[in-house]
Amino acid sequence: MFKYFIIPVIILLHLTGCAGIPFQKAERVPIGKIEPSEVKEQFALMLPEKFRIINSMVFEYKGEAISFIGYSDVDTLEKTFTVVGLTQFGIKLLELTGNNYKTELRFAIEEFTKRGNFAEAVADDIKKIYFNRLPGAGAEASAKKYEIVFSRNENGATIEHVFAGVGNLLVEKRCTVDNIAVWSVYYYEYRVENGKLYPAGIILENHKYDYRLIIRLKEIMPLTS
Amino acid sequence: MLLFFTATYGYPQDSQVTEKTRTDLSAVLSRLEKKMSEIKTIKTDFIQEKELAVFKQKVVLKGSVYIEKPSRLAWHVDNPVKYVMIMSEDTISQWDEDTGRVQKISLSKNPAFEAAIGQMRIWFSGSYSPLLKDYEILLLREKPVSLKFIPKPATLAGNVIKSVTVDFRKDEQYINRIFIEEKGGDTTSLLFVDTRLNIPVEASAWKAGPSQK
Repeated sequence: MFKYFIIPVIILLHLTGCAGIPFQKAERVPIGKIEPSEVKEQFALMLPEKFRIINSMVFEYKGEAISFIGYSDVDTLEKTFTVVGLTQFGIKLLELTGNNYKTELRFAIEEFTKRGNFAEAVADDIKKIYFNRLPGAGAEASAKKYEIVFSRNENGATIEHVFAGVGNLLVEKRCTVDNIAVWSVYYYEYRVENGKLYPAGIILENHKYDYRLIIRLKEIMPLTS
Repeated sequence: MLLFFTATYGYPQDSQVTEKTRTDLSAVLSRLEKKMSEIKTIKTDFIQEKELAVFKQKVVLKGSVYIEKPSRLAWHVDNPVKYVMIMSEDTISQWDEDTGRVQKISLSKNPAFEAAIGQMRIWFSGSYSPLLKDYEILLLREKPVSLKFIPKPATLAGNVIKSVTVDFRKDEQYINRIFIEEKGGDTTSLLFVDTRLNIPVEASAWKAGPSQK
C-alpha cells in the first residue's frame, strides 16, 4: 500500500524539481463584492514607490543552490534600480545599476561575467520582480471566487496579475507566450512598514531557462540619499 | 630610509601620525609576530560594517570567528543571515540557513574565493613581514599599534584594494579592528569584540551547519 502512495510523490517531486515553497501562501478568502479597478487602486496606494531593502537570495538551477545577500535600491516610478550582491562574509559579488532601458554592470566577479550576458539577465529578473506590479492600462479583469486576474497582451506575450487573499494583494505576476509559461513571480507574506506593503517572500520561476530565485526580505532600510 | 604617511582614510587619528623609520616598522612587525605566535586559538565576536559607495549606507553583519592555528578558521554569521563557513587548507565548507545545504568549494578552482580567503588569512595571521614584498607598510601609531598596508601596483590585491589598516589591542596579542578601503570606494570595517585567546574551541564551531550558540 505504501509504495502506491510514495511512488507518485517521488515522481511529483522529481517533476517539480523538488521545488518546495518556503513561504506561507495567501489565505483563500472569497473576493466578495469589489470592483477590479478598486483592487488595483487600493494596492497601488500601498505599494512603496521607492525602497531600499536587504534580502537573502537563493538561486536554484539544476539541483544546485547558491545563496547570497542582496542590497536593492528601487524606484518604481522612475523605473531605476541599483543592486549589490555580497557573500555572507561580506565580499562583493556584483554591483548593477539600471533602468527600464539600459543596464550598467559596475562590478562582477570573473566567474559571473564568463556566463553570457549576466548583467542583462539579472536586470531582467529585477524588473520582473519589482517593476510593473500593477496591471497595465487596458488590462482585462476577470473575477473568480478567490482571485481577480488582470490580463494584458504586451508584444506578443500575455502578462497576468493575480490578486488574492486577505486585502486582495498581488500574489502572482506571470508571462505566457502562446499559452506556454515563460516566467512567474510569486509574492508571499506581505508585511506593512511605514504604511507600505512589502512581501517578505518572493519566488521568481523562469520556466524558459528552468531556474528559480527565492528572495527573503531581511530589512527595510531608510532612504538617505 | 623613511616611510611617508601619504593619506588618511577614515581614521581621524591618522593626521597625528609622524614619519617612522623602517627600523621602527621592522621592530614592530617582529614584536607583533612574536606575540601573535603565542596565540594558538582565538574565539571572537565581530561586527562587520560595509559601507557601499553606491548606497552611502552601512550594511552590518554580525557573528563570530574561531581560529585554531595553523590553518583552521570558522566564520559564523548570525545577522542578517545565518551562515557558517569552515576553512581548511584548500577547501571551504559553507552552510546557510536559506538553502539548508552544505556546499564544499575548492579554492584552487574558484579564484575569487581564493583571493578573498587568502586576504582573510593574511590579516588574521599576524605574520606581516612577508607582506613587504607586495605592500607598502606604514606604521600609523605605535601604542596601540596601527599599521596601514598599501598594495603595490600590479599585485593581485592592488587591483581591488586601496589600503588595509590593522589596529591592534593594547596588549598587542590580537587585532582590534581591520579597515579595508577598496578601489571602488567601498569600505569594510571589521571590529572584533569579546575576544578570547588560547581557550579550547568547542567542536561544534567546526561544523558547517546551524550554529549551536
